[in-house]
Amino acid sequence: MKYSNEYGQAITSMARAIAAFALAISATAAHAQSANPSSHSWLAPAKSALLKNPVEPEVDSITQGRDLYSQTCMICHGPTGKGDGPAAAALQPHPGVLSDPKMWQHRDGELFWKISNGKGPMPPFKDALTEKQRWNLVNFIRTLSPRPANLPVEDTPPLASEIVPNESVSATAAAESVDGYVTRAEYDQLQRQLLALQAQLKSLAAASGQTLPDVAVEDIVLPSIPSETTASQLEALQAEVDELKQVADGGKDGRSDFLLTGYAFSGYTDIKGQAGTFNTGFNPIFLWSPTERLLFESELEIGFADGETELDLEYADLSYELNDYITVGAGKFITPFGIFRERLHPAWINRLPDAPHAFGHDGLIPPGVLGVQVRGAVPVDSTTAHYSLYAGNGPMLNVGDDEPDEIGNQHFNNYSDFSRNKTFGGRIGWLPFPELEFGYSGQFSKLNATGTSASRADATAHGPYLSYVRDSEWLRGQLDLKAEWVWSGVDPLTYDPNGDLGFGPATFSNERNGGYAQLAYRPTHAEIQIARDLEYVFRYDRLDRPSGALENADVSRYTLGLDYWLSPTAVFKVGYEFGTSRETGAESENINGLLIQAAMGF
Amino acid sequence: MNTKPKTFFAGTAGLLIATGFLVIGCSTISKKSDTNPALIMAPSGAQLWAENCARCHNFRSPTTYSDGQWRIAGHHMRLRANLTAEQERKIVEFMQASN
Repeated sequence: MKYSNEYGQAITSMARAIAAFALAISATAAHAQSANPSSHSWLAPAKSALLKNPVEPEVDSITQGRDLYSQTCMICHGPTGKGDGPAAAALQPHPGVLSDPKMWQHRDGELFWKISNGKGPMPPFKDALTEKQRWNLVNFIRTLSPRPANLPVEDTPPLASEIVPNESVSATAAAESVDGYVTRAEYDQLQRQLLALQAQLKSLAAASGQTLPDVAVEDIVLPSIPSETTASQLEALQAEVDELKQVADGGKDGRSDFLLTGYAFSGYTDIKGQAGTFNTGFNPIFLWSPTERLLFESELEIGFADGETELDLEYADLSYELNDYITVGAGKFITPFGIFRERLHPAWINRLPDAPHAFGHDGLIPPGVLGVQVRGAVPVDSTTAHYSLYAGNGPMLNVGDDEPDEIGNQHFNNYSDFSRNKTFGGRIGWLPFPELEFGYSGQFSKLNATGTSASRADATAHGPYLSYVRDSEWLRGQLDLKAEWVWSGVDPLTYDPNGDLGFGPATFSNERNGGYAQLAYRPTHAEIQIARDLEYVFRYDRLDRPSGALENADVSRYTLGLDYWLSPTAVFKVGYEFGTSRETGAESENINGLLIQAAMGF
Repeated sequence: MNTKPKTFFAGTAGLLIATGFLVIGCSTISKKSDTNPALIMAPSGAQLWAENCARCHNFRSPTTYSDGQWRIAGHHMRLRANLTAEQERKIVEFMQASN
């Protein structure tokens, strides 16, 4: 077919532009994606593919391979190689299915090369594992898929005609080769076939008692003699590429030690006795780390309250790693008391649309502390222990001059330390094995009780927490159990002793306690995608208030939740709460509620 | 500190439950080591990623962040989840190798 000159030129410049554009992209991406082959198919170079497995697939090797597999591969490739490990959902491209009998189309050398070099989300294990360990892995991976009956005897390279091309390479090879050039993949494929033929020839020669001269196939170089036109075109192309590279380099991201992350949510809450309302919130998190040891972190909480936009500084603290076991910090930080506040409160992490009683913003422990902290973790044999200690501005006791309903409550938003007394607290935790963690937290404060029968009062809070998370084949999914409780007490006092405030004298034992137990299950090993994306949640939570206080309702709830995960950090949650509230001496009141929330972490 | 007997009962119950889990956990561990004698190895970055991150949240793809960003995210998470220095270092290395 003949094209007019102009048309031909247009095609040439289009091709040039495409090539230059592709080069510019790869130049820009080079610093992020180092040396990853860009083609869809993943082929080992012929020389590596034909490498002979020096480790016999015997019990020892396979057992060691299995242990390595469960330590390094299972997280993505799954316990039986189905590509359904717990992390699989987060990965693109999806982890390879090692249980597929098609695995036998790959030689041991190819598997070894792939393990060594990695690609995309699969990291290279060249440095992390010894050669022997990688061969052990190959031997174990072989046990994950049944060996096809028609496979040639071991140690004999498959016949050239039997080498099944990897993915689409040879299907398109013929079509692509008409331009007179071969692609890298085609070249590798041809080289591999040649090597296989050479090996076959050698074995035939050996059988007939002849010797053949040694020719190293990898030394064969395809001659490349560009014509004059091609040469000038190449030159022009090179100039364009150089120019584009310069432009691309200029636009490269700077190496800033800053990370902007956070989360957002939008929802609807309809609780009996209250007007149903839409709600939303946006919590950006700013992280700066100018050196290895220094970190500044801050979370803003932007939302609506009482008809106004509200901006809260959830935390803003500087921390410095003294050594592997001690980090010191100062500022406003999330209270290291229990685990809900510190670890689970972000909307994309919390499996339900609301916080459990006792651990929410109006709970029994301070959401944040303005002060200093020391924390760290220590490996103890194969277990881990950790500690956190803090000191900060003490809470304020409500003595009734403002919101008399809430007498005896502690207010934690104490940014100027009214009582001139500090609060001290800490938490210790232990992980006997990675799936299980439990610990205990405690806090002690001296409160300013002026206006009551005493001038000062002691306040304590303490309680245990437990976390158990396990993804297993026999559970066909992931089980996530969390539970924590807190007992909070303030010395008994008489509020409004002279009756000046109009409700006293009121004396009561100021003991409160509350907590939750939550169980979530996600069938991460289900066959159907939609089943894997659903998570079922059950939570029981309660808060007991002192019976002599003005606000004395004991509240408890059973919550059923269904979450649909659109991505690992985006979720749509629906929860129904069966709640009751019972004031001292009164009938219990139903406070059922429906909560809907969409949340996203970024 | 005003401690009621109720507090003690509940606290004891909590500890008992925790101990129960511990016993179950240890028996699982000993079963594991029965089958793999003398094969105790330091856990890899991939394994630590699997064990530690899912305790609170779903796995983020390694491609979510650049190498520098993973360093900061790792530091932030070491504080938040009380990870050991080695856990943080290995997880970050794994994420940086996989992004």
